[in-house]
Amino acid sequence: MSTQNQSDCQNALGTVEDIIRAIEKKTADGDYIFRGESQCYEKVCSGLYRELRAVKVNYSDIADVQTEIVRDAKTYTDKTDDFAILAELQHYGGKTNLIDFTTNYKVALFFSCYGHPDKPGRVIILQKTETVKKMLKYPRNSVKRAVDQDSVFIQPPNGFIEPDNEDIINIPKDLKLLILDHLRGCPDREISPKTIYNDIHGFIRSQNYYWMAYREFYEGLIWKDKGDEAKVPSDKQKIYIKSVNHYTKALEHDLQQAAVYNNRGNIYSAMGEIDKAINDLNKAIELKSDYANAYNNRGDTYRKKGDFDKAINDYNRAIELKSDFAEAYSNRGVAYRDRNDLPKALEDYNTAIRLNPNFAEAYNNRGNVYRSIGDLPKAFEDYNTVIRLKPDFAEAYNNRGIAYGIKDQVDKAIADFDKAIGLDPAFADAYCNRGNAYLLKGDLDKAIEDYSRSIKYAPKDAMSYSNRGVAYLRKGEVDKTIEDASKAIELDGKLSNAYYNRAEAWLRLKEWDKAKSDLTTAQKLGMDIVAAFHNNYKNVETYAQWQRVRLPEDIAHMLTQPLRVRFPKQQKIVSADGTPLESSNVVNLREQLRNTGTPLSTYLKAKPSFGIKTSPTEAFVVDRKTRDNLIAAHPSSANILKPFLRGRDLRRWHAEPQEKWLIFAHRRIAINEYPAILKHLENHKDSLLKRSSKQEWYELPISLDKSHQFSQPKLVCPNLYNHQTFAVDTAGFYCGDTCYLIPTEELWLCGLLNSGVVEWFYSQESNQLTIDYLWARSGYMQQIPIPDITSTQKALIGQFVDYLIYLQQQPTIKSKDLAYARDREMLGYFERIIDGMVYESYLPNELHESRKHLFQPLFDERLPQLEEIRGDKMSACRDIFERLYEKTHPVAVNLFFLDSVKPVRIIEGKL
Amino acid sequence: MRITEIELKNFRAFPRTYHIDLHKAGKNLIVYGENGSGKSSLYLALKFFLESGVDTADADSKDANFETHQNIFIENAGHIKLSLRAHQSAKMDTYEWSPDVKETSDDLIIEASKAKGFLDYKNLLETHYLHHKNLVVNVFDLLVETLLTNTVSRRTNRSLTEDWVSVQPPFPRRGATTQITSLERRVENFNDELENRLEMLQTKASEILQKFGYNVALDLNFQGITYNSNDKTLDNQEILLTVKFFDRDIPEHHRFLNEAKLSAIAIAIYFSSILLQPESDLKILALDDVLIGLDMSNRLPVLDVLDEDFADYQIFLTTYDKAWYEIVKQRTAHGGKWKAVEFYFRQTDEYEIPVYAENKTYLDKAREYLDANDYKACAIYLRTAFEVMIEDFCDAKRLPVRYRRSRDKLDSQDFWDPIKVENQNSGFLDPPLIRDIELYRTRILNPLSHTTITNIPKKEIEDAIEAVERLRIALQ
Repeated sequence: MSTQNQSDCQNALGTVEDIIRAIEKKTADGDYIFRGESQCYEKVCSGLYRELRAVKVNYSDIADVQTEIVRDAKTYTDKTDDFAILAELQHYGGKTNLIDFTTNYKVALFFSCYGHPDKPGRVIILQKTETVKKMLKYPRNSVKRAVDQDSVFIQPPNGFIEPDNEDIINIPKDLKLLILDHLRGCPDREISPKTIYNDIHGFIRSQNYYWMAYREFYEGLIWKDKGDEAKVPSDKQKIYIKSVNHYTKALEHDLQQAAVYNNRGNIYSAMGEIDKAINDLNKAIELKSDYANAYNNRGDTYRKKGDFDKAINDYNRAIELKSDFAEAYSNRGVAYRDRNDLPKALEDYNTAIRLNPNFAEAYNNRGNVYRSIGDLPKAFEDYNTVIRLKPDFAEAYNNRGIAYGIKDQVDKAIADFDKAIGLDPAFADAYCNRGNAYLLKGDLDKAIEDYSRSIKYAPKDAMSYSNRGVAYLRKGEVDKTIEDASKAIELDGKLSNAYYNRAEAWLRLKEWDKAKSDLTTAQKLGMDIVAAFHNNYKNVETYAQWQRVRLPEDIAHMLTQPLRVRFPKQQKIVSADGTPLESSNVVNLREQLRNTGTPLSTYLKAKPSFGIKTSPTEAFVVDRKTRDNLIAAHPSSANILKPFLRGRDLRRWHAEPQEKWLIFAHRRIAINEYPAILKHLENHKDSLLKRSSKQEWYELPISLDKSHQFSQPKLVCPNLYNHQTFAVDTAGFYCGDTCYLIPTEELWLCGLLNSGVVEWFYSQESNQLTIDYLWARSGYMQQIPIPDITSTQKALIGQFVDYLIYLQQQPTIKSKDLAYARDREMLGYFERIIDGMVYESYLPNELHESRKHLFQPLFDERLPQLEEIRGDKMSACRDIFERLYEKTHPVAVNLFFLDSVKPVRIIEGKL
Repeated sequence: MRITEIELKNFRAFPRTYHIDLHKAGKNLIVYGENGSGKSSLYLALKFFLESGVDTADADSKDANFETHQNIFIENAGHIKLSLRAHQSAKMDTYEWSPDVKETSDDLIIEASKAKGFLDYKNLLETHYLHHKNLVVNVFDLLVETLLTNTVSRRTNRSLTEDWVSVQPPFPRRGATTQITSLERRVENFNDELENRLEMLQTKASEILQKFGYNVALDLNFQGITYNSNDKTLDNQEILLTVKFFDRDIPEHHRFLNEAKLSAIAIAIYFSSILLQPESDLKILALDDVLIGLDMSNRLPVLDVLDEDFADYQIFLTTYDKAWYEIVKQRTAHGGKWKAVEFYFRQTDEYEIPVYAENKTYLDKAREYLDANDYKACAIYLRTAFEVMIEDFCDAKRLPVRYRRSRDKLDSQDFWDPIKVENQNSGFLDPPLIRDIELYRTRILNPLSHTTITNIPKKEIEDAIEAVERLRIALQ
């Protein structure tokens, strides 16, 4: 007897493998056919049988009914073969007395699982016994679908068959999707709706099934909207779960579409179920790789998880796919802000607003950035815009409230927080902020009440606990402070405020050791405990008065003496919240260099200075033609016409004078002895008289004869430069005030001053990191530390400076012709050699520890002085270069790997 | 200085602990692995390990962070450990890189990273898009954006990429003379840097190419890029590769520059770029699937080049081409310089897991995992033992195996069936063994079994191992 009820149907095997194994085991011997049913009917019967039963027809004459049907059908088709007509009817869903079977058990499994996800299915296995063979019909001239389904038919005399119980494998409803998945991935042949229903009529059949899925999908959408509108978090959560369930059903109906996963993932994300959300969104993206929305949503989810890099990647992709995706820009901005990259955040918000000028969230976000960089007017402007665009946007009120708080307009702030809470009664942040405002006003009970509410809605917010602790401390309820602060620390171990608050509580309890430990932690976490103590109590004496207790010496010291400031100068770059952005690497290295050797001003015998102010230049500076004319007019002119250099004529190592001469007219000369010059200057008398300084109209503004300052050997650099540019001048050029002069005959100093180390140090020290050019500033220049090295080492550096001065003047090097790229490589390589020697001069220990030596292998080379080189100096230089450039030469190896030394990496900007 | 041991744990494709012994000599390694078997993970493990030593100023660089590479499904923290020896009898030093320990900031590792050669097949894909006309190919992009990116200037210590980036947009607006001059200076610098490299490369690369068996010389003609301030474009992005023939007899020499030859040229250029720079103590050259782009006849000479020009380097080759792997294995079997290993990968219900048995057999590994009560890993190794065993048998006996479009799609049934057929002729398997194998094939030795394996009694798994062992003996 085959009759089964539904409960029997559920006594089934537990896993996909169990089922497959059961079928395989059962069919291991002999020939079988299979049928899958997605729900357990009372009988295994033909469609016709079921139809007739439904209208309660006497079904014993089912064969006759079928014959009639065929006869009628013949008027609709050219076919004459009865069975062919029956097969076609069956195929198109007509009612016949055929039962679909298949020779492929996987196809049967498919049918048993496809449809009725809420009901168990079954697979019927028939051995081809003689009885069965009599009923068995094979389709002829089959349509493609029948072939792909390995179709066969059973034509039972009574309209149904009665298989034994052991010929039926039951499929629990929970396994249906797993089995469908398994079948889709079948290695020999994919079995899925696509391959099973592979023609238009198949499509119609599967469409019915899909319609249910679509209905679920739209239900999901509707509930999501309702959930978004709900205000109370618990309601919201409940409604979201409904929406999730509908989407899940849609998926169960095999609606494997990206949108379903995307939407469900999005809800999971809103519900805080991050992992589930990411799973769904991954799936959505897997199904549809150009799904901008899904990337955006996944980005949001990663951001909630705190994984900003991944979030930004996703937003980038979303924007790449959809260039006008304002939300993605705004969201990326939030991720940048969370990563503390405010300029990029701002840029993104601006783009978002440009793309959608009514985009309230983007204004809100931008307002937050303006607020955090202290630009309150712009922040207010943005918040006001948000509130105008979207008057029920609780967050905007909360944010504006914070901004009012910063401006000390506490009542206005409280009004805004009230408004925010009115709009969203579960707005934890707003409670916390209002608590802060009340705390500021001294209304401790209201503050505590608000903090407690904030904790109720956001039980993991350390800040609310910490602040409630402060309120308790003010009320003198020290135990509660300790409790709250400890809770805050448990939630966020880096919250320095909480440590400080707890320390204050310990102080009240005279638990000195505990207090000290907490104070130390707070300080280590970067809190300025001295300032905090000062704000609260002014000083140790007032503390003693208020609290009637004298703080122990060491704690009093901790709370009043700022940590020894190692550098007199302020940190240069400070982020929005006041923390220095410079790494300790940089700070320490600068300090180390500063303490190496003697400052330049002490090292030099004479003082460095700027050149002469030559304005009006057209009067005092003349070209070759004018000079020749002046000398021709009167020979004495030659005495005070001096070769002249401007800042712009300077190159590294060597100046390129542009044939200018300075009329060196100063107080010590008798102008009348130079009639030609006087005549020339008279042409410019008007502009000369306009000068404000008080010398004679024809004189340069210098009080003494400074000619010795120019005529002696010196290093010259422009007053404005972007790369160290010191040139050696031994020809006694006079210089304008765009030049900075260092009087010295030590060539090696030019190498030192042009080195990467000094450039790095000087740009750091002279506070000019932010603009393109460096200024030569005497005060800072004179502070450049000159390392203490031996005279032979100095000579070696000087020797390379000599090479470089020579090379700098060679036409192949000055040219841009790529045929001479190798010569320019030589110049650069020699500069690198000097850099290496300078590194070794400043950081000998660091380099030697890492087995990097430059001086020694260079000494070993016994390189000739430039002037000793006979014959073609250029080809001699090339030989030297090729030798030192050879990849196994210790100089080459050490230079190449120089940056494995950490300070070198810092200076080269790689750390 | 050579790597003598590698240990990977929860790094990318390696969920468990994997140990690769390169012996005291620090042998070279050739790895065969199917796609996804973890061979590329091994390549990346070496690469990122070396690169992790330098704390980069670039906050976006995630590769320097070990966590990026951990399998998120596995909670145990992972690590990479490399053990090094200066020579066979020297003391072994182990360096670890993990979320907690970072011992890679040592000079040794930093320098190895700077001098290393790491090339993967993706780098060579570009050769497929190159078009040539009259034996001239523009290889600018290939060289500047792929092959030479990491080459470091000997005078500025900047990589070519840094110089290339320094001339990329945004370009100055028209009329901003200072900025334009400054850009032009950077362009000149870039041109010099590139030209200097090319001059050295074309000689060295030609030498190498000749060892590959091409009697030709390369010419890399670069005229310099120029900035066009009117159109705001960088013009002349051209390095014209021409090939000069010494041997006039090459037939159809206009067809010379096909993909395989371009691949060979690219490899030669890459090799030269490594060889032209100073060498670190620890020298690593890793080639991930790169040689498959070459004609078979040119792959063997590559081995010679590795032997001669990279004699001091420790070389890591990976390939998914089994035939090529067997050739290399055979070629390098003598001399003790090379070690050959195979990676397979097996799907489990959670993730794909590479299977690697080091010096042990898969069966031994299966027993090891069984003793450690890791049934899942045990089943995977047991299955691998079984599959490799019957596959090898079919290969060796040249039994006709069912045709599948992709080799991945073959399953053990496809090999087992022909063995059974063969057995009917020669009867090397007794019926109880066949029965046992078939029993365990469904219970334990198939991919679907891994979900339920934990429910199978240990005894039964032991029996399965024993059955496979019997099969191994029977098939010998």
